[in-house]
Amino acid sequence: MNEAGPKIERNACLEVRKRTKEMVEAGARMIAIVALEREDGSIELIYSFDRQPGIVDFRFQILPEWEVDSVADIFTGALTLEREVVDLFGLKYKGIPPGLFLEAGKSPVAPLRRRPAPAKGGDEDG
Amino acid sequence: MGRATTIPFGPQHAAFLEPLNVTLTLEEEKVVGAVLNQGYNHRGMEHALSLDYRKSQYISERVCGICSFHHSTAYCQGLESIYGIDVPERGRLIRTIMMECQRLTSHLLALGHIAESVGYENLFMQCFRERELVMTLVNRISGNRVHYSMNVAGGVKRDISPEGLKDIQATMSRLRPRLRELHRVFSRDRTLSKRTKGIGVLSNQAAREWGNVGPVSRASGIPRDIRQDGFAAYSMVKFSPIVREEGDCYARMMVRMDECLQSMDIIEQCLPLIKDGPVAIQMKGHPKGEAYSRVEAPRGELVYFIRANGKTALERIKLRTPALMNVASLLAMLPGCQLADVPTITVSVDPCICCTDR
Repeated sequence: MNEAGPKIERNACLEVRKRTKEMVEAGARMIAIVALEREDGSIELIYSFDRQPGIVDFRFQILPEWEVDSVADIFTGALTLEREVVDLFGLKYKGIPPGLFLEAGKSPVAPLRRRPAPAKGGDEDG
Repeated sequence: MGRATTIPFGPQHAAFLEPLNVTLTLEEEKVVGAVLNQGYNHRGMEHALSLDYRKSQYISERVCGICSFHHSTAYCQGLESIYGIDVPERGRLIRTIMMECQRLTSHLLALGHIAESVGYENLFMQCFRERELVMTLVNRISGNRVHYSMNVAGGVKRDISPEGLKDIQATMSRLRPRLRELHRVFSRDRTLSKRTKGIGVLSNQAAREWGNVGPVSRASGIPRDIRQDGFAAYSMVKFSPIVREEGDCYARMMVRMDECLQSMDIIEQCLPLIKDGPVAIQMKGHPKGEAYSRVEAPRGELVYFIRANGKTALERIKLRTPALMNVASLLAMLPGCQLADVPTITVSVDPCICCTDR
């Protein structure tokens, strides 16, 4: 585990297509896109592939307001995985709509992101 | 060519056990377009699982009622990998037996469901009658029919007695001729063949592009079975992935039927390998590190990613369930089919919505 995480790099949002294409051309199958929020509020994205005999991944760190390039035209199954990240982390993927699990205007927004800390003396539940 | 009509298929539909909506565009009886709407069962399980790693081995079983033991095994394996421990052999063999019992119950449910979708009610009931033999067996072993609650990080918390092992062997002996008879019906019945052969074809190329897993991908000629990686005690038994090339509903049905017979073989191979010894080891301290964990659940590859930072709450736990990938590929199977075949095609991917939506 890399505690510092990868560097925050704008290029990564574009680089993801190149890296995914390399993996798919090498015969790997995308198995997951793991998103997680780091202490500083940035988002770490881990693209995991099944490349026998094991799992390989590449990971990068971005700011939540950046738009990530979709890889659904390279690997069709990635569409569902990207839509899940859009819903649960509120990230933007180029050309990928929200609404896989959650309903706009009715469901919580980005439920797997940390909530802002309540004001001192305030009641978290309102 | 008729005027295009759009109709909702689900979320509440006689063909579905759980809520899923497919918006179909039809020209007369032919499906020309499909849009999937899911999320009716989204429960925020990834958040719930991250709250306290000590409770998550129980919560993970509640993700799905059909492959509950596979979920807890994947979770426990992930923690064991972070702690860097090896589960005792007896514990791994018990896990393998329970996973194969659950594969039997899951596949027999899926087969019964397919039979029902083509209007074959008595075959549906026959599948569920044989399934009940396994359900009562796991109830005798674990005390539970659905959520076995046998897994703990480090092994299993409930041993199987010598009488229990004999009981498993006796049940398999009773089940085998019954499943052979079911196999004969599923493979040879003319009505069933006509309703499933050449229907809902998913080509090998499409299965690779959509990232299909489990029986759906193996029915399209992809020879991938995570059990070959040797998790639990699968490295100690002999088996080969069941693969077919047709990619249609019939192939998906028959892969599951053949895998039922294979599960019994695996269970019977495990029984004589069980030797006296511990079934679990204890772990100390809070987990720190990250791990991937994979198992071959009845619907295919189930992936857990766990990152722990030495506290009771996990930094992240991510589940990639097999149904998430398989359900999405319905968009490749439905266009071009007849409306009457939509229930059979959707059911043939064994769509577990609890797993898909989590």
